[in-house]
Amino acid sequence: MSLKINNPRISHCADWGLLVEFGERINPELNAWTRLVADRLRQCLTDGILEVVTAYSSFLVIYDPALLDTEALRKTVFACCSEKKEDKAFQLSSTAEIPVCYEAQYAPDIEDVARFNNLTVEEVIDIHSGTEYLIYMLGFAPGFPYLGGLDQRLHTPRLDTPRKLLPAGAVGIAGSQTGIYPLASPGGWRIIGRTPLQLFDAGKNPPVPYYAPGDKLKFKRISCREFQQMAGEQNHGK
Amino acid sequence: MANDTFLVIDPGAFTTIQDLGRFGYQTLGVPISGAMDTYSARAANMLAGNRPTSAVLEMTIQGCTLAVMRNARVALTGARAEIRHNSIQRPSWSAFEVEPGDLLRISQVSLGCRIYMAVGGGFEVPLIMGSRSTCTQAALGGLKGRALQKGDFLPAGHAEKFPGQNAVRGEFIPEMGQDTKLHCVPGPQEHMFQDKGRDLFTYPFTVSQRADRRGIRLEGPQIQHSHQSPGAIVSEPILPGNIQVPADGQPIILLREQTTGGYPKIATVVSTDLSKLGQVIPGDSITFVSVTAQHARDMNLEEQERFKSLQNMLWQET
Repeated sequence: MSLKINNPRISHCADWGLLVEFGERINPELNAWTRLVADRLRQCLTDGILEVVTAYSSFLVIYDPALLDTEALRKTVFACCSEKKEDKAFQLSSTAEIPVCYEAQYAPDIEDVARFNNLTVEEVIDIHSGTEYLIYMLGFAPGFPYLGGLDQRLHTPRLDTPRKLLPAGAVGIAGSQTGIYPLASPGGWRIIGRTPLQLFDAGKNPPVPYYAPGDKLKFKRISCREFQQMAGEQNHGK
Repeated sequence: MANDTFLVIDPGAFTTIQDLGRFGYQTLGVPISGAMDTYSARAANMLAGNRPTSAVLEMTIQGCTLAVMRNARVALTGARAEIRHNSIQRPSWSAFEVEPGDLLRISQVSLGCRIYMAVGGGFEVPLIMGSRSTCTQAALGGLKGRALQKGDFLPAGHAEKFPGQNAVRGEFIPEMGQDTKLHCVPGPQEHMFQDKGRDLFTYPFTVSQRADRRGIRLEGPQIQHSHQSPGAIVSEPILPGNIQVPADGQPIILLREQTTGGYPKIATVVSTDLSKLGQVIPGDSITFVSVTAQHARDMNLEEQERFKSLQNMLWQET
């Protein structure tokens, strides 16, 4: 690997959290390394650990201080970092293909995005669905993916006034980011399409069935008819 | 259903089913949820004869009115309110037996913010990802993923007759008031603030109107980020009790319904003081006291001992 990774900064979050930070950067290799070390830790230490939560370039260990000594935990984290870095987590993981309908009825802001970037709507769709994105992390809401890799030609500022309610499955652009809202929620992103898939389902295991942090993600263009057919199948499966 | 134990006559302002939280899914963006005041929730379960992980009702500001459908033992803790069991007035932090046809009416809070009610056997909603806690933003857990509504039936699990005590002794009842002192450990990003974040510990802050299960925004003197520090960081996982400071210098204490944050965290409230945050209301004053991580750990171990003593006392046969 090309990226130099330093030892992490490890700090206390009061009495039950240890935050491990590998540096303030959004970088695919650093992100893969963060997830790899977190995975190793999950495997070698279980007693007293409630959860290991990963993000861009940091992870949080939540633990029970009655069962776990933080000095021992700190040493284990360093040991997980010192092992050889060539590992399967650096190999490409799977690619999730998310069907998206970019037709006007599901894409209220796609013309604005095209106009802002001096593109046609067709070009916006081609660029957005022609790119492979990296899922750095999930957060903000259950199943919400933080995606890296949006083409510069599509960067568009947020709406001045956020919408009060976006439907589940809305696909949007905000600045240099693109993402999908798995649940209906308020939001200021420019909406350029919608997926019929139910991206978060508490009844499924895992509850985010189509992707995980570290996966690649591609949007696949579908027609309104396909959208309705797939949405119908999703509801039928319940 | 056979084990429906209460019918909701009036749900109160925002009443949800909570347990001690849902751990293990934050990497997928699923928040911890769980009781905001875990001390009161655990005490209610002890009084009802339950395990600490049983699900309880969390009522916010306004209590609820329930019609009883089955014999059960109920216990109420947390914020002070008037509890009427038919025509009998019951004290807070106590347990009693109810029968079919009884009416339980819990008033608005007079001190604190959240009232907890346990039932013998626990509120028996399905376990979702290992927890019965309600997360309303994702519509998951609890009763259909939402706050209680008029006409809901509340099922309880099976319980043997509980032979223990009916009241918590005063020394085990937490103080509540308009001035709350919170112990916190500096960091994890205290270096991004002037004087390593001393501003936080210098003056009291006021709880603003923007206070809910997600977090509590405070108002007070502006906390200064250090000159070389950017006002925001790359999004990181967060822990309940993390105190984030955005560019406006007004701190936000993060609580149980959020998994990531993008502002530097000046300090973190110790786990044993989080329950106090479940009982503050807008306008209350908060003072921060700095402690070491080691001291915070000692506080945690002390509280675990305290729970053991409380349980020993309550589970003594009368």
